[in-house]
Amino acid sequence: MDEASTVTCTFRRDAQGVVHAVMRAGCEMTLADAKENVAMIFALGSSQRSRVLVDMRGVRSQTRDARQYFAGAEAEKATLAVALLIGSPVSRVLANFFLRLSPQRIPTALFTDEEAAIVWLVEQQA
Amino acid sequence: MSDDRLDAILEVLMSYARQDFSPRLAVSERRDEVDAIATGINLLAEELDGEVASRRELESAYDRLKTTQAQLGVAEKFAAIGQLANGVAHELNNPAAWVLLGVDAARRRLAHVRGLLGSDGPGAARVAAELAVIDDALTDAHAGMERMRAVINDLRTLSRADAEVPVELDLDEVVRSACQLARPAYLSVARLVLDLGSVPPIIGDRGRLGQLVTNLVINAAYAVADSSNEHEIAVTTRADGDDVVLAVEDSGPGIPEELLERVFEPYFTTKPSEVGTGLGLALVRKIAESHGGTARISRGTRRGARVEVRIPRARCETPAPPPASPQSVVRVGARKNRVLIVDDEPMLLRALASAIGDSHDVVTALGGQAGIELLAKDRAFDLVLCDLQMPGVDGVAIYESLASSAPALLPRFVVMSGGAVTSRAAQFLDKVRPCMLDKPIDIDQVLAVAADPRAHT
Ligand SMILES: Nc1ncnc2c1ncn2[C@@H]1O[C@H](COP(=O)(O)OP(=O)(O)O)[C@@H](O)[C@H]1O
Repeated sequence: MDEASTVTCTFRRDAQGVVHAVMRAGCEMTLADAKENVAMIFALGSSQRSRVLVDMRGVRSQTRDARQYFAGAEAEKATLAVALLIGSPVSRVLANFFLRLSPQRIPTALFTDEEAAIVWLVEQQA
Repeated sequence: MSDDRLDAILEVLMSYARQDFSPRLAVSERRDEVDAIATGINLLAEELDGEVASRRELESAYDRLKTTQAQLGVAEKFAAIGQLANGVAHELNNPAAWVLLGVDAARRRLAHVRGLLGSDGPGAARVAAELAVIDDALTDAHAGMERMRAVINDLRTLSRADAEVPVELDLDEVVRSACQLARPAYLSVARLVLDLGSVPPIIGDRGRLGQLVTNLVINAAYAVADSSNEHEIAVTTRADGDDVVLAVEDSGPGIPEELLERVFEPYFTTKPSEVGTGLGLALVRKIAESHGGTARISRGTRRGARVEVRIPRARCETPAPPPASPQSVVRVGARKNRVLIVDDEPMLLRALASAIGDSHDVVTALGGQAGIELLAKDRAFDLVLCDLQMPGVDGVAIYESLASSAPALLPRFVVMSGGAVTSRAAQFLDKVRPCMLDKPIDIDQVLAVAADPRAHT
């Protein structure tokens, strides 16, 4: 399985094993969505930890508990490194909040350029 | 930025300033800079909301902790007061005994003097009048001491050390003592109706059971306290199959159905924290269960609460020792007996000797060692009155020494005991079941025993 989708995201696993998670335009992410998405990433990685590119450019809002879930132990089991791709001013604010307010368990970085994000992800050691 | 969006932002900021972090800003499909600011504000508000909630949680946990701590303090204080009361009762016992005996002796001498005085001679009438006044004063003093003796007895009953060896006991007696002690709590608010059913004996701990009854009576008194109606607290005992059943019922407001089980939870209270600890009924249940019984609460026939405690009756009924009930003994043609009194308290020894000495030959031994030495040389006694607890050689030791050297004396051995029993002494009482006189000593009782030792021992 290399492609999948949930209410808020579509997923694709590329040849290098990077999972691309693209948030749908105008999506409002709640805790339930966060859980669903993390579970999906886990499944796509065949229960291994994946490098994940999260394209946040379409996001409209995200709740606090969703954010805490993404920074928590469950997400850590599914992800090895996370690159957050931002574009809109809203996604920038959300991503910065995420990055700076929740202590990160895994390497996480912000990018506005998709290629640079992939390069960084691939560099991250297992 | 349009005025509308700015106003919306201002509006929520004002409400945050009033510590209300619930409103959120709308984020439009455009997701432009204003939406980004709105998002930032929303995120900030969520953070603050979360912080406030966890602080409130912390505060309420802290409050609960503080009350629990206060309640524990109260429980500890109760335990300490119990110990203190026991110690005080013990200390008061001996002086109370000799005051009582002294007053008794004085009254008897006074009667004697009045007999000698006759009715003629100058001033005889005046002396007789003076003596009558003295007699009245002594009678009052005697009554006062009797009351003190009752209080001391109740205190002893209720505050005995925790590790008391379970003994066969009469629940009715415990109820009477406990109600007497709880009197100040209900006196001004309710009438106490005692309906005691001469129940069969149970095995238990007098002090703990007394505490159980006191707790129930005090709760009942509190329940009826703030209304002006006439109230009743009924305490009943009865036998029911293999159980002895105690019920305490009041005519207060009762307990709402949904709280009936909760009231037994430790720390559950509806009273202000200076009054309620929420431990009373929890203790009642614990004490009942430690006696193999149960405690239940329900609505009583007087509309108020009814707490029912069931305790199994003593299984194999060992024949109770013949109670020393001298009141029922008719003293006719009392013969002169030879009595040995052993006690380590010189004042009490003297008072007892003087009280009994009028009608019997009395020999005294100050302390257990002296008692043993004396008994080695002289055993011609009709009665040995021996203090149970003495430093060094105690009553138990004297009994044991007699058991091997002069068993014939054992049936004439009477112990005097004044509370705070050591476990050694308690075991002795339980095993040997000697004839026993409670301190403070009641002079009539001593005289009755001395007059006819065989009827009592
Ligand atoms: N006789 C009674 N009538 C009405 N309510 C009672 C009675 N006895 C106990 N309660 C209720 O049960 C609660 C718990 O009682 P208890 O465990 O003795 O603790 P406390 O008396 O310290 O509150 C009381 O606060 C009261 O609400």
